[in-house]
Amino acid sequence: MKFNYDLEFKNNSNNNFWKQNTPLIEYCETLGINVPHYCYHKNLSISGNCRMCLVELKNSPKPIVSCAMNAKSCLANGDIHTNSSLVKKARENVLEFLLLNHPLDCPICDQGGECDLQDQSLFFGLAKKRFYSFKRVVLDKNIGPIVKTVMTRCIHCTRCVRFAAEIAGIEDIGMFGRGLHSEIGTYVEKVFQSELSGNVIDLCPVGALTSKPYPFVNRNWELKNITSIDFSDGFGTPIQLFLKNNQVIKILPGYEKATYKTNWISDKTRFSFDGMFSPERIIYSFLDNNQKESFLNLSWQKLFKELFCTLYFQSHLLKHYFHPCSITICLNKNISLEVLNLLHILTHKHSFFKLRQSESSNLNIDLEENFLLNSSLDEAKLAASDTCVLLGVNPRYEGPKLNLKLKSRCLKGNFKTITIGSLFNLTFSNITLSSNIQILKSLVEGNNLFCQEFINSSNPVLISNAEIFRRGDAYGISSMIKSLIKHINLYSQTNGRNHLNILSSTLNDVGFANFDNLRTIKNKDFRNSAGIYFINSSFSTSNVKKLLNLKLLNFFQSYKHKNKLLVTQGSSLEMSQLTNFKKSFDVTNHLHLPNTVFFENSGTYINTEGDINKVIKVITPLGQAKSDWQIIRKVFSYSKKIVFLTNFLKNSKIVFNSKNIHQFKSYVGFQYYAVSNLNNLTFQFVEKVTKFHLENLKFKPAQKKLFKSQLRFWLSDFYIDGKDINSKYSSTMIQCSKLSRLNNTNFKF
Amino acid sequence: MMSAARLLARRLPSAANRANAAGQLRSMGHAQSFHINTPDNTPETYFDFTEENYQYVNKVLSKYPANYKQSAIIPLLDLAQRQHGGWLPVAAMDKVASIVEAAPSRVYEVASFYTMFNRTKVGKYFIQLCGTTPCMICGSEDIKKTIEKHLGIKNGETTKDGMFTLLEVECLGACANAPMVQLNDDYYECLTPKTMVELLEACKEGKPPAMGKWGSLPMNGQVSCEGPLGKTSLWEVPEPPKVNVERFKDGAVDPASVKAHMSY
Amino acid sequence: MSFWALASRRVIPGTVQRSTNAAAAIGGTRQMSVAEKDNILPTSWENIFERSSKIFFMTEIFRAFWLSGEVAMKPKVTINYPYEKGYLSPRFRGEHALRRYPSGDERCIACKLCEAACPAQAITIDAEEREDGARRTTRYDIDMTKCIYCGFCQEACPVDAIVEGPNFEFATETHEELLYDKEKLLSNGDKWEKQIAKNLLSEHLYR
Repeated sequence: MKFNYDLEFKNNSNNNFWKQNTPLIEYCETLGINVPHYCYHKNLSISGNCRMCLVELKNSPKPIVSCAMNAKSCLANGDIHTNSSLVKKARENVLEFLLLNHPLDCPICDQGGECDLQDQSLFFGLAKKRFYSFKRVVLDKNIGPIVKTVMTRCIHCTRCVRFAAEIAGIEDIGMFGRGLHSEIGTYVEKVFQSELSGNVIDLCPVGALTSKPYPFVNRNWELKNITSIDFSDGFGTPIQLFLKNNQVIKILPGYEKATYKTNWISDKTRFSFDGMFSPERIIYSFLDNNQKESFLNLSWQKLFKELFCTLYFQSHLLKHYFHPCSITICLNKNISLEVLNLLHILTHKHSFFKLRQSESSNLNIDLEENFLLNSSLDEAKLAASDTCVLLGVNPRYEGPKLNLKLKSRCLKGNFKTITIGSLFNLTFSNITLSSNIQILKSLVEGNNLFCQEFINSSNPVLISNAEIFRRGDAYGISSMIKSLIKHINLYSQTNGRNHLNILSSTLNDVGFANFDNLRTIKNKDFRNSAGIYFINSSFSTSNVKKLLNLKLLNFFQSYKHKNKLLVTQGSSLEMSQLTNFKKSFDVTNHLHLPNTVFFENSGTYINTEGDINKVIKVITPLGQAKSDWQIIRKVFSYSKKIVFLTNFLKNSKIVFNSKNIHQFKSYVGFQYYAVSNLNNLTFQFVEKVTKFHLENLKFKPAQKKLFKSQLRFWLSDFYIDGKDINSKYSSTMIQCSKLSRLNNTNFKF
Repeated sequence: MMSAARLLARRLPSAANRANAAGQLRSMGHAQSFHINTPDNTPETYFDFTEENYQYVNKVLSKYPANYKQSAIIPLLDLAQRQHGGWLPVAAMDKVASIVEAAPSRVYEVASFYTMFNRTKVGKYFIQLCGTTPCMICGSEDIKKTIEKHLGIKNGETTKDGMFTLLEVECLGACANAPMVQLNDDYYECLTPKTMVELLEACKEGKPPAMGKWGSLPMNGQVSCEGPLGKTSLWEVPEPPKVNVERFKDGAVDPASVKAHMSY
Repeated sequence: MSFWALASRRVIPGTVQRSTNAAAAIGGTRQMSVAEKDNILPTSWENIFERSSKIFFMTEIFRAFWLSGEVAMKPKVTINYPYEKGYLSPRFRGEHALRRYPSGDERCIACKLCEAACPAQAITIDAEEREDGARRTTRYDIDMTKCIYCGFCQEACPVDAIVEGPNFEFATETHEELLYDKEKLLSNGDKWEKQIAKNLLSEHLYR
């Protein structure tokens, strides 16, 4: 860090690689000179009210504000000194004024050790004081359960005001009063209700805005830093984890791989990790036999023995009846690719294991373009387009990163967003057509007035949700959307093909789609199987809930096998639903295997854009928990010892016959070594295939049936619901969701 | 060492004590930079402009381009204040925000910046007493004491019946006729304690004296600012300055000639 | 050799004294050189008288007794430890204590400056928000066996919460008892507060 560097330019305005509007402070940073500042921020608009970035320009009567001045024009007018005596004096004086009314809170302030004011006073300030009167006091404001405010420490840099107005879109924070009595807050008592509200904690250079969950817990010098990815939505944005004593203390946004820029992360990413370590987490195994004794804390050896003894016994019994007995493995989509691969191999080896997904996914996963968020996050592509159609997706809550990109494109002008779905507040202007399916139909048929928009638009972007494929009429809708795309591509002014972009909000949805097309779990799986094995179980996913409710209503006929086995592998259990499940599906034995949470696993995940992210294990697992991969591997090795004699036909050797390596989807190839080394899965990035046309094939189209329903928004509560399993146990998230529901409804409960 | 004020701030965060937390009494134009809910001033109370006021609103909005409606915030807030009897409830600010299509925070920022927008309740007659140097040396302290004694209120307070509010403000620009008060929009100048009491009594009956010819009312019988000894100059209509009309004949002025004309 | 010859032996600097025993052991005496002969002073009757009176009257022994008596009668500097103790300056750094405010609330605000300043990393702190919103520690341990009693923690503390008191007599029989936790430190503080406060009063202008 070169603070004492005196930068002299001599009319050097010939550099062409500058952008037109580079502020002088950014130019100095590229040269390695750090000009101290408070109110300037790269991603926010320029304010210039802190006056700390003053540098001297010869021939200018006063020092200039380097964050607000254009580098090119400044340098054309004279020499710049960044460390002359005038600049030093200016910095000392500005700091003196800032510290005049600043309280002596450093020992109790959370920002001590990482505070801009502390560091800059150390480098640029004077040690003497001249102020012996009383300091002013500002009352604390309550802006929600996420941000704690101690407004006496505020130095009025207005970064939070600009963030709230420009990036979060909620213009609640402002600066009221003037002079000595100016205060930053929300004038009336309001909660700063944005999904990005936690980012002001990072922005505030002093300790005025700090994090309300876990205040006072740590100082930054005793924390260790490690990178990982965000588990709460499908984007897998890189985050930095701070650890102390094998515990995760805080999460901050990390650096993007390609551009080394930081990004904004949502509140869920930031604060829902304590759901992973909540007291409701189950770290010890248990076995429930419906007998008088239930076993707790079995060792893993005993557990597996129990499991396989039961299975063997069942299969032995059933062999006499010649009924096929299978075990259904129900997967949630946030398990890593290695585990998925291992399960796949397991099903090949022992065909009585059947893999099912807990929720249905994309129907057509042959081409990558059908399940990825293809081009929407590319800034160049967005800049070229001027219309965006959102089909039943709310990017604000499902993928805040996408929402920010769309919003910044919208602010640049000439961008129309059309939403087909419920009325959303996307923080930028959008036009909502109704949420009825008929609208989609009329658009496709050309009956709607908005079709004119598509004709006049250039490069329209279509974004939809993976939830569309969970509806019963998914075939009909997807074929309708395909024809819509075809029409748009024909009639609008596009260069290149446009595809439907699918935003998936589960951690590894695209990874599953890349791997295989598993079937969804249905009632007949429950009927035909002798045991159900839930991994990272999800009794509250809509599909399983639906099945449960239908069974409770006695909708299905009774089951062939009594005395089923239920194995749950997860870190938490929902006891009420579990007891319902057990009763309705005739489960007698319940075995619970505790597994590790996201941060205790290493794995590979593929995000909605198709980027592969590898995560390493960050903390050691608690209690008896083992990672998914270890458990499945043990199942593998134990199942070799006990021979299952059913289903002779399909038992074959381990042949890794991934169905995915054919000419359509050749960009990810799996390679693996011996089973004992199953930890090494290497990925080859060959080529993304995007230009394959299937339209020349002539198939007779199936009857398209559409349900007369609405494209309802699936996420009822951003903080608690969602595809990740941790947020509902997190106390911060529960508080946030209570407050947001209170503010958004008319009922006071 | 924490000052007493900060200790107080930490221990008594209730709304009732907020007014005194900083150690000074703040109300009306200088009210807190945050809102305190009182029974007649919450975000849910009803406020709307009257029909004739809406005509004025539309006239104001038509002065500005359609994408710069925010420029109309100040005149609309002033109108709302006048309609509501001299002060602005939060509901009025929200209403102005919805008319102007801005976020309410932006309107709150404007209203809290300017001291002429009173954000707390003000009496029917808002007495603003000038207390700066020229008025002070002419005896504004006595006027202040008179008002306090007569009405029984201190600086910043309102009388119980809600008729009068007293506030000592900065210079009001009527220094030639010191001491003076401003009552709502009217200046009453050249006060003595006796005439102050007369003024207050007249206001209590609801008939404050009307303004004079020149827009203010000196209470000692003067017409305008001629002083107690009467007019000493301007007995005739003064001559207008000599303007060379030739220079402006064609509608354009030669810039070179301006400098020559000015040098004297 | 005869007694008299032994008694009259003298060491003369610059010459080499040959051991008469060695000469006898080898076999035969050696003739003394002229220089040696000159340097041997003949034994006189005075010398004999002096020497014999020293022996018979036990002069050294009485001298020694006198010296012992002198020393015995001298006032000693040794203090009688358990019943008398040495003077300690108010700056003395002994056993740690956590102080309180006069109102009874503990002073320590979990700023962790002492933990960062400790050169031996003997202090471990965990902090949390108390129910009334104040910032306080949940765990404050000092490992007295790691501590080097340098007083950096006392210097670093902005509120004078952790101090090194004047107590040095806290030896224990087990190692575990020397790993002080917050309760122990606080009770120390209550026990020694009067003296610590007095020391601080005399010292605070220099800190």
